[in-house]
Amino acid sequence: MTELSASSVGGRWRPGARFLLRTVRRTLAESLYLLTAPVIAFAGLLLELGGLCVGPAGLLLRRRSPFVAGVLAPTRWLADLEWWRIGTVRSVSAGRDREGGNAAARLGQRPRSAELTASDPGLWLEVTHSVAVLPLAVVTSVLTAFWWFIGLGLSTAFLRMHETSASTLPPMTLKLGGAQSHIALSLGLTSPSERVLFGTVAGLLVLVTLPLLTRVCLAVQAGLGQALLSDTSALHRRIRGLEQERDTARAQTVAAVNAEATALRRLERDIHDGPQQRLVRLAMDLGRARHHFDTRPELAREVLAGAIAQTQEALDELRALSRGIAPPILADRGLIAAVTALAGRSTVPADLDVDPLGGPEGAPEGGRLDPGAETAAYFVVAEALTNVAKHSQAGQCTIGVRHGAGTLRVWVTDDGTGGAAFGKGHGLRGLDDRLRAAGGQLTISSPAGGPTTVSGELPCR
Amino acid sequence: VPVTGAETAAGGRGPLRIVVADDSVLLREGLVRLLIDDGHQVVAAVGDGPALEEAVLAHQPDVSVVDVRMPPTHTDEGLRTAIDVRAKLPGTAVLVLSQYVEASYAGDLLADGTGAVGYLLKDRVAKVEEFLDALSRVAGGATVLDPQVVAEMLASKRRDSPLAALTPRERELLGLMAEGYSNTAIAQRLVITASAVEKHIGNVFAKLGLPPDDTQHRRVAAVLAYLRG
Repeated sequence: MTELSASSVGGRWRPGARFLLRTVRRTLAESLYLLTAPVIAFAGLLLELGGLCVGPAGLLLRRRSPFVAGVLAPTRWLADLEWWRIGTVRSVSAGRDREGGNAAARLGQRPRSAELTASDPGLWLEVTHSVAVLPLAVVTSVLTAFWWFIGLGLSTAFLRMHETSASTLPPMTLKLGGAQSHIALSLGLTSPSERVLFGTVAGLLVLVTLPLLTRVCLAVQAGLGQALLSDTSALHRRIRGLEQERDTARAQTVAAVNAEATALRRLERDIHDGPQQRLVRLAMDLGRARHHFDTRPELAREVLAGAIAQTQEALDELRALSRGIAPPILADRGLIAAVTALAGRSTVPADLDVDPLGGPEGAPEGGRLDPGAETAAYFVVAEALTNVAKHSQAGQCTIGVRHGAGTLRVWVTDDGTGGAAFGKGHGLRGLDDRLRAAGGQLTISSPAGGPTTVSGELPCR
Repeated sequence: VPVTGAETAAGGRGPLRIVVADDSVLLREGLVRLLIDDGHQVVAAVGDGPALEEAVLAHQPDVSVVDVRMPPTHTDEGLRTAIDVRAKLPGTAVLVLSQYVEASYAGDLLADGTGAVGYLLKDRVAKVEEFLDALSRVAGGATVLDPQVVAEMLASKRRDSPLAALTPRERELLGLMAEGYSNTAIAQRLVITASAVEKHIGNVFAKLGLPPDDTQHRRVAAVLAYLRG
């Protein structure tokens, strides 16, 4: 209390001067902001219209969202600029010395998503802002300019009227209305000096109301900017991002469960159709042999010979089956060796295009890859080769393996007839599930007439 | 003339006219050879459900040997075709073979209550004599269930089932009936007299509330009750 009175006594004139200075500075800043606004708004609208003209081309693209977002990127830059301008003018008008730029701090960094996508509601708010702000900016800037012009013009009228003539002038009349009915207000002011005096007073009055005008205009315009550009949905976006992550994880789990179910069903089918059938037939034949052993020994002998062949084939089938479940060579020597073995067994001649980074055959220096990724990659190649043999009518195929930057990529290209798809029976659907479960992705390029490329990409240390 | 399983099993068997349905060429051929070796006549050997139905309706064989899993669905096509065919041609004898057996499948097969059905693991074919015997019993109108199905049902009996009222001996006997054994064969197996078997069977029928109508029907009904647990 005492402190306050002491300071006010110490500089009685100072608060008034400081207030005046601050008002002038604020008004200047606000005027500058308001006067330049239409230029920026107009530029923004032009960029946007350009974007909207180019945008429809994006509809032809398959993944249109990034394209649309790219086209509208300038909108975002302008929104950032506008945000900065609002922050600056607010901090100046609030008075740095008193509030220490609190307003700027309050506005701070514009909250917006780092990634630019067409589905981002913030982006569309920015577009809305750039459209809505132009008429408003035109009105406020014209008003501001008009106020400045009238105020400065009138209040400095005496400077331009120094060679005053003594002659009397007709009375100055303000007319309102049309020719039919109007109000005419005669102000008198027949002498030039009276006019100058009147003009100066009127101009000063206008100048005094200028801060009020700029403040109101700024409040309206910056309010609009803040409402549309400050992304209040930032939290929502974060929530949505987390939801997306959760959905991805869930989809991955579903894919894993599907892949497992499919693999198990297929395994059951393979056992049923393969070795189990061989063994049933073997049992049947042995039963026959025993049945006829005494009565028709020559038939029994013949049947037994067949039974031995059945045994051999059952063994072969079991071997193929265990290879299909967990290929021993993959477990023992790694992906490259296993893929090389696959190439060797392929009925269609297969070239290898293998990156030694993955570790050449059996060499431990490259280290072994993630077992999950290795297995998934192996089955991409195995399934693709099966499809090449079954469906492609290809004369040649190439198996590729690359590993680097945390990604393992395998592909099989053939010179066949093409037309492979994620249809039933090709096993590609199950393979896709298998890859997605491992966090990867299966891509198929197979135009009619070929060539077909099946490639799998998956994260791998 | 309806012939009971008991009578057929007890009597000799003549050459049968048979339709074989299995999608595996390997097993189909094996079965056909085995049947021909034994003097039977295979009138048709087919590989899927629709072909089976066509063949049975066309040839009206004494018995059909049917694989459960066949095209086009590769599920229980054979079983469903067998049931369909038996609806169109009542009493047609069908012996269903499968690489695995499920009690519920047996229930589906027996549901029409007319008998002349069999449901066996494919492995049983290896015991050629027993398989051929089962085949002729089914052709004769008996019900033959795989011991494994029977064992499964014995293992999972509900408390509130009418079967709970049966003594262990009676349940054992009912199990053998389900496997398709004749009274004589049951008597031999349990080492009791034929009249004791008849007495037990009478008790089983009474406890399951089966009316005293023809024996064959009661046998099937008893097995059905057994299956439904």
